[in-house]
Amino acid sequence: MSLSYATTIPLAALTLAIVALAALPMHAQETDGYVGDPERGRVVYRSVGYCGNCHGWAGDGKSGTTLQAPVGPNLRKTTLDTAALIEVIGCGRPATPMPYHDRAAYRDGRCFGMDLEDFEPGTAPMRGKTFSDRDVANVVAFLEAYMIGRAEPTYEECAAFYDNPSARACAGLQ
Amino acid sequence: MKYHYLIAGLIATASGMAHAEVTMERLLAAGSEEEAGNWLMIGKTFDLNRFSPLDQINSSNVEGLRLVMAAPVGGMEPAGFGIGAMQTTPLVDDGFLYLSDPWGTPYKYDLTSETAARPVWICDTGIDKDPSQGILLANRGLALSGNNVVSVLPDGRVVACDSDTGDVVWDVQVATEVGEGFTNSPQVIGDRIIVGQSYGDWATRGWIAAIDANSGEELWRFYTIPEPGEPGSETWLCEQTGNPDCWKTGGGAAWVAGSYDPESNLVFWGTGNPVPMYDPEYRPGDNLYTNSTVALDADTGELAWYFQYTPGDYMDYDEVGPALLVEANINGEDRKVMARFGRNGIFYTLDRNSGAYINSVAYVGNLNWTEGIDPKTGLPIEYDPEADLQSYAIGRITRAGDTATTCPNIQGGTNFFPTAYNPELGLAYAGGIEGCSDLSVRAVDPGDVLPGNIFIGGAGVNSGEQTGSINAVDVATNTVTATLNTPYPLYGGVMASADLLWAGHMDGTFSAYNASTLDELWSMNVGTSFSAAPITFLVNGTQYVAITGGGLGVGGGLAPELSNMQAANMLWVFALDS
Ligand code: HEC
Repeated sequence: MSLSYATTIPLAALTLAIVALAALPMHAQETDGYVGDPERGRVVYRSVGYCGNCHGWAGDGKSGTTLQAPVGPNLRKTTLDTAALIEVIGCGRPATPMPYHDRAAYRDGRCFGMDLEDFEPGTAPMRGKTFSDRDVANVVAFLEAYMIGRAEPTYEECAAFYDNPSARACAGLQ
Repeated sequence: MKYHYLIAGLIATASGMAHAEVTMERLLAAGSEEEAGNWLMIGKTFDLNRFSPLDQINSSNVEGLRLVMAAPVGGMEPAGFGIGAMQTTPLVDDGFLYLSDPWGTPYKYDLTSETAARPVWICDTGIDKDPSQGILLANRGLALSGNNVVSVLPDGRVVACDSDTGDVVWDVQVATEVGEGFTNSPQVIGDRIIVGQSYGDWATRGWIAAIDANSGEELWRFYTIPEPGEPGSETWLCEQTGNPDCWKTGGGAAWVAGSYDPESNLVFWGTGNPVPMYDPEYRPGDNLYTNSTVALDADTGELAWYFQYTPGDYMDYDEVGPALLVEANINGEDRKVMARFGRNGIFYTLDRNSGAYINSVAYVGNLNWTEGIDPKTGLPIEYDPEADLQSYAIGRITRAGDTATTCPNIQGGTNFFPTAYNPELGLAYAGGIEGCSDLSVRAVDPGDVLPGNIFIGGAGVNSGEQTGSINAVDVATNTVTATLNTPYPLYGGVMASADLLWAGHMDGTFSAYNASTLDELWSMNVGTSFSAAPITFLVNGTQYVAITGGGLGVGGGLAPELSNMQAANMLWVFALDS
């Protein structure tokens, strides 16, 4: 299965995908047999997508670094399932600061069947960094393995996130 | 071997070491004929006038200006907010140019060939370019002190490098608390160096300190946020909020170096916004000494006077921008004046010895946050000394959900941007932003506030399109005499020389204007975004103009249409076609 968000996905294909997912560990993500790698996903979150600029390194919506937009929501508390995560990261949320990352978003109908020119001025989705299908799966795997459902961020998590025990971003947690 | 060393020594003497040490006598004479070819301090002179009397380049011939030298500068490694901004004002002594990159690393270039800016040394401060730290990276310049080049670093150290060799002479951790550090430039006054903690919005408490120029040892420290019991602490009503410690993260960062008046021995530094900037309910009260000019005794750090521009602020109107020291005849009286373009869109004159308010005039095209300034007190007329939470003309923004639109933009008016004063014309100049911001509150629990993490308590986002302007204000008559509107916000400094005014633009254009009319006389687009101020100096008797360029930095958010401009830190040097 390819990463398609169009509502026209045949039910059979969806069912197949869900069956395939069910057989994998909870956090795993699947694209053409590809299983999302949460370790690579951490790098994607940190320094490919710069998701932390809006959501904070911990995804808690508290420690973002963008001054141009309000901080994003707490991803630790999201109730979205894997498919919905793939959709929101791939297609963004039109009319909000949440950007899209799928390289073909709003070009081949995979995002809500829409093209960029279908949007009214000011409601078009923002363009984020461009991810490969695998990196969308990787970042979702990272969210599911290390973020969603977690309690308050700890120093250990921070040091692991930055892969640096003396990262200055973690100093306040020690 | 010995022979070689001897030769090397002789060459060093001939090229690098010939120029004199930078003594207090030289700094005091920085505006004199003898020093006219040098630019020894970021503001050129202690009064921060950024005025050069050099007139080889003037309105009659500036159209013949061309790029003659250029050199790349490093420091492109990003921190949490991305690549740092190139905001450094270069210094020049005897044909050698000193500048800093956004990580505060000092560089020395040799311009004496007049054909190339050749790197002489890069002082290795050993900075950890940790990309995790969620800071806005910038460095606004170096200071020359004796035979040292002094830099302040984002990690809170002050470092002195040998101006001949670039070796570290001393290195002191002056800022020691989590989240503290420097983005500004040091201010050298004789055998002391004044520095200001720069990261207020990172949940810290601001301060200004003096250290010994020979050892780095700290001599005094003035906290811009008083602790309970100290004068001014009554303006922090933290107890009301259930968080008696709210002053400890009160901000008031001193993130631009001040001016100095040798006659009174006072330094004039500006202070930043109260923190969190958009949530006054976190920190009720007037919040002294945020958004203020503080006049401190250079020897003791004692507060001589203060003037707070926007008490109980919720519009992010830091007042760190330079305090110009000028002399002007106002209403028939010769006065020693401190003149400032406020980030709040208003140009102020104060008596520099007492801090007494003299005059003010709005200089931005659209100002709505106040109906005007009280002619007696200099405070906004809506200001209510009895109120815990101020309500300016745009109304309050609240945790309950009230929002407001403020003009000028939260970034100003002007900002840290270097301003200038031409004493021959009596005109003060500043570039800035024309536009508005939408403000909203997002309450943060005190338990969630981490020093070192940005803490703004809400959002201030562009309200529609943002453009820019450069304004000239006649200090004596308190009038805006010329305005140049620019398509993009002007996010950097200006410099005055002879009958010209100079400015670098966000889109990579560097321009010279008629100093009286602000009509453009020359410009060139070199492609690097400008957020620094230019300088002018002589090399072997010929006049040059230099400026540093780099990435868009945080200013880029004001002009989304420029977002594809890439960062490249560069030194650009211009001269007339010979
Ligand atoms: C420019 C800021 C910004 C960036 C960058 C950003 N986000 Fe978001 N994100 C938002 C905002 C704002 C929302 C809330 C949108 C809304 O109002 O529905 C959001 C929503 C989300 C949601 C949905 C949460 C929910 O429960 O509904 C997820 C998941 C998410 N973002 C993940 C990411 C990931 C992963 C990245 C990096 C690949 C990222 N975001 C980058 C701002 C951003």
